[in-house]
Amino acid sequence: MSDLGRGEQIAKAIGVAAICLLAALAGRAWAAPADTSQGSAALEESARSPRNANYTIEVRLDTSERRLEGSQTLTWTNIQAQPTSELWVHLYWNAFRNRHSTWMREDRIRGRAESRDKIKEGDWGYLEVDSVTLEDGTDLTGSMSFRSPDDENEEDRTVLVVALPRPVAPGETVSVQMKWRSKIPRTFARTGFRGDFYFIAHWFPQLGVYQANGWNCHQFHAGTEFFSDYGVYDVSLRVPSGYVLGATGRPLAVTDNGDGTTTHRYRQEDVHGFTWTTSPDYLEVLDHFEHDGLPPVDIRLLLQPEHEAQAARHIAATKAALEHYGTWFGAYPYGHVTVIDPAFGSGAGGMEYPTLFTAGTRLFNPEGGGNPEGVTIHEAGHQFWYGLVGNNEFESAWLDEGLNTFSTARTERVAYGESVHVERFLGPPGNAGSGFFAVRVKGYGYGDRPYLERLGPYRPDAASDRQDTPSWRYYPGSGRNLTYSKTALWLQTLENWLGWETLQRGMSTFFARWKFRHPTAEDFFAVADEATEKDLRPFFESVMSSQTFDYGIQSVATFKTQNEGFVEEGDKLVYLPPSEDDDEKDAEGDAEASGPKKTYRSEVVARRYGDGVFPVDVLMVFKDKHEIRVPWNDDARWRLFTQTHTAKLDYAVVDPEGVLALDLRPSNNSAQVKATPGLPAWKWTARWTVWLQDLLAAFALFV
Amino acid sequence: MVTRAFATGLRVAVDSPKLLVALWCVLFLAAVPFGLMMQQEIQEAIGPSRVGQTLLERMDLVWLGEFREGSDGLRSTLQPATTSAFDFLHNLDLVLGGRLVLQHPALVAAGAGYALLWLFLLGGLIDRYGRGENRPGLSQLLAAAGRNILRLLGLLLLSAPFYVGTALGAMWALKKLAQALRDVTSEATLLHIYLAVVIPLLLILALVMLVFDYAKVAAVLEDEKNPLKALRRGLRFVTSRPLAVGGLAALVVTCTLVLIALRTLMDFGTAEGTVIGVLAVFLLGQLFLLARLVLRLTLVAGEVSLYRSAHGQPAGLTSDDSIVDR
Repeated sequence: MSDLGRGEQIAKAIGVAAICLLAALAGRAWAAPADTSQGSAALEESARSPRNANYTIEVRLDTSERRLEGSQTLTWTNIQAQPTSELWVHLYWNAFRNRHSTWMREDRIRGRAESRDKIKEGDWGYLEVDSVTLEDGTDLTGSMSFRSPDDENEEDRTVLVVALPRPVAPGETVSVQMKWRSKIPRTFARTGFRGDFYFIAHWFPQLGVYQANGWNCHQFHAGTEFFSDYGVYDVSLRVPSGYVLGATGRPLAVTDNGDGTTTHRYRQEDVHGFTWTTSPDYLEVLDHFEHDGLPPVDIRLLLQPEHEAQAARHIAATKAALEHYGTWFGAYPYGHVTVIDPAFGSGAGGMEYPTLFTAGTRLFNPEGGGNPEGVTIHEAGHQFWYGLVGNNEFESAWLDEGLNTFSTARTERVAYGESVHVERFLGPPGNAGSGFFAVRVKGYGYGDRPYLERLGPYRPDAASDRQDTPSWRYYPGSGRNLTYSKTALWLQTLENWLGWETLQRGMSTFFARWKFRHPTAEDFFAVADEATEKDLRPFFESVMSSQTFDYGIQSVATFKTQNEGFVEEGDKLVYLPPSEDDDEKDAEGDAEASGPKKTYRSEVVARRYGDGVFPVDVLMVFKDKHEIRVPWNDDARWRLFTQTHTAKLDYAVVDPEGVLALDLRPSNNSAQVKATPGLPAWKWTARWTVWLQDLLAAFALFV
Repeated sequence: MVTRAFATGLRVAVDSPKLLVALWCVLFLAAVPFGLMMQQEIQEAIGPSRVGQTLLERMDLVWLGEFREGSDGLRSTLQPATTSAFDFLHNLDLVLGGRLVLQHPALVAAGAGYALLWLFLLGGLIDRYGRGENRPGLSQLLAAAGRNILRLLGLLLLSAPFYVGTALGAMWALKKLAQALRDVTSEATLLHIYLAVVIPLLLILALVMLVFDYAKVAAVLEDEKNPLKALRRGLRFVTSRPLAVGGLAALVVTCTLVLIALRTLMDFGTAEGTVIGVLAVFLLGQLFLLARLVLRLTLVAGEVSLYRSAHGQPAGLTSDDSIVDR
């Protein structure tokens, strides 16, 4: 018996019991890990991703106020080896809150801000978190703060940090409830409203990614996209009845609430985001993809009514992507995909989201012109590069955009052949280039190298940044060209150099190894080396820098080998005059000519104008069709190639097969001994002159 | 009356081949200096490269990108729209989009120069047609042009604020329209609305052009030196005979649009790789330009014919029926 009285003992016992109860309740908030699939053994078995960031969200759309009101439960498991006392959360829509956000500042720098001069009050958007609580009710609202880890812009509100009362240990799970409200922006980029059309992307407080070196949660930049962990999304969307809705995942239930609203519940496992769209105007088209060796996929197309005639084109392009990407890289596993044809002028087109993507077309889009097929294949392709292989788009955007741009071009070539050039005319005044009407123009293209279409966008920005600069730090106006075009061009170079089979092996190994994970650039390089069984490091180091590639032929010349001038004959100097030149006989190496055959010494000066080094061949072609090919594998700035032959040199080409798709100026890769630029110059001048004459006549309309 | 005026105008236009050739020469010579510059630029850019072979078969867009890169000079005007069968359509786009004067400054200057030259010749044409001379001799044409240039220049200056006003009004209206349409999410709806607004704007512009057309006719045929009075006559003429005036103009515009459509249908590609092929394509283009000149002369002669008919003169132009008695 202790010195305490009986009453005191009872009180103490009650106190201990209370503490134990509280500890037990608190312990529930940080439960042991493993059941990230919300308790279903079947789901656990089928888990394809870590599922360490799971969301259950309820949201209501108020179309009159253009607002969302939402609440969510975020269940997060720390899968790293170190604890953390914080949760870092993206609030992307705060980029559209005012002009001082990082996104808006960078948008101005890249020159798009001129069109945003007249922003009305109702156009702005934001995302406000009203409360954050743990599952046990602990209120963390007061522990929220904003951070600007990238540029210290104190006015940027796109990164929210919630301090936790105690660290989340490795393997532990924390469950957090958030209440938030947002004002939907009138689309600045990708997401927002136009009229009755709503495209709602990166719209909820979304956790960053906790990695070995801490939280990876960048501010929202004008030139970057997104990065988040895989998980399960269970989302209930309450929208006006009569609105057609499309979203990530499959619909589980549709409930008429009896108050003019309908709740659509969607669920999707193993994705890293959730996007939805709604409009009363959508037409729905359903189709089904099947291909030997690939799992079937249900396709749901939500189309603008005025594009009904283009439904088949969207479906065919989606199927082309599923087939070719699936065959080349790996199967699309989700069993369904939603294709959105966004409203005209909505700014939501051409973008990828988990199991859903937006295409985009025009009222008049001629077949064979590349759209909507091109954008549909590209965004469907992102289901593989971005959706399944979840790279960090803030830091290595090229890992999805570049691989996908290359893959898109390949799919287009295989599925559709070469596209025809299209010109657009007669658009809203002041909007040159976006004409309502489109025509196919014959005779303009890239020949048998359609991928060189990327050279135009790439060339002006070729030296603007090292490609391995984190994407969010690219100069805002040039990042896109490095991310999309440069990567596609060096991947094409790899294909040209190593062969499609080898490159495909590399890309499919990368896909298989890194799907449902977050690879970095180094991971890609390592897989490429391994799968191709080549040391590609020097190549990758070169393309990841800001080096440019430009090989060219500086000059070509051909001389008779017979000497000219004073030569020794015995002990005397004798003058040898220049011999006569007979081009025709010389060219054919006339066997009937009397006397010994003439020989010619041909000289080719090849230059490396760019900093980048790549093994190339120099091909010399002679007038008798004889060819000599000499490799050039060193880093010299120029080389003199000489050959002696019985015929004169006709022309020389460096990199004759165009292996180096990154070569900035392919036109200087060849040179003829007897150049004949006159006729082609006159041909195009003559055509242009007709246009000019008509232009001058147009001025006379006003006198 | 409209069809008679049109037929008369067309007959007069095709009945004076020397005049047509002379006008075509003026148009051609105005373009030659620029053509020579462009030819030189293209030739230098091709150099000894084998891309020249490719350019004989088709336009290599890689080479075109290199050629145009970083240029805001003449090089920047070489593009698919200006070297294909859609060149006339492209220019129509520029006119309707108000971008004609936004072209390269040297081209705008050349265009302005050509327009002034045309104005000069127009005085002579109206005068000669008014006197019933379907085939004006060159010296008489130039003499008449010289007699009338000052009054026509006066009208040109007077017309400037109207054109500028119309353009500014149209820009203001379209800017307001763009703001009003910011939430329209159907391209078809947008197109219909723009057509509904742009067509009346074009009609206003056409009205301004027609009033000044007939002001010029009045200035010459009635020897009116005062541009304001000539303008009043032109306005009175147009407002008192809107159907006839509008009908004639509409006929000519329709023919012009048909011509542009025909031109765009003649998209045979770009494979002319021989001297004969290059010449053939060039000559086909010149044929279309000649047709445009024919239509322009048709309008001028038709307007004179209509004016004469309205003043109790026979519509057909004969040498005894001149309004102007000099």
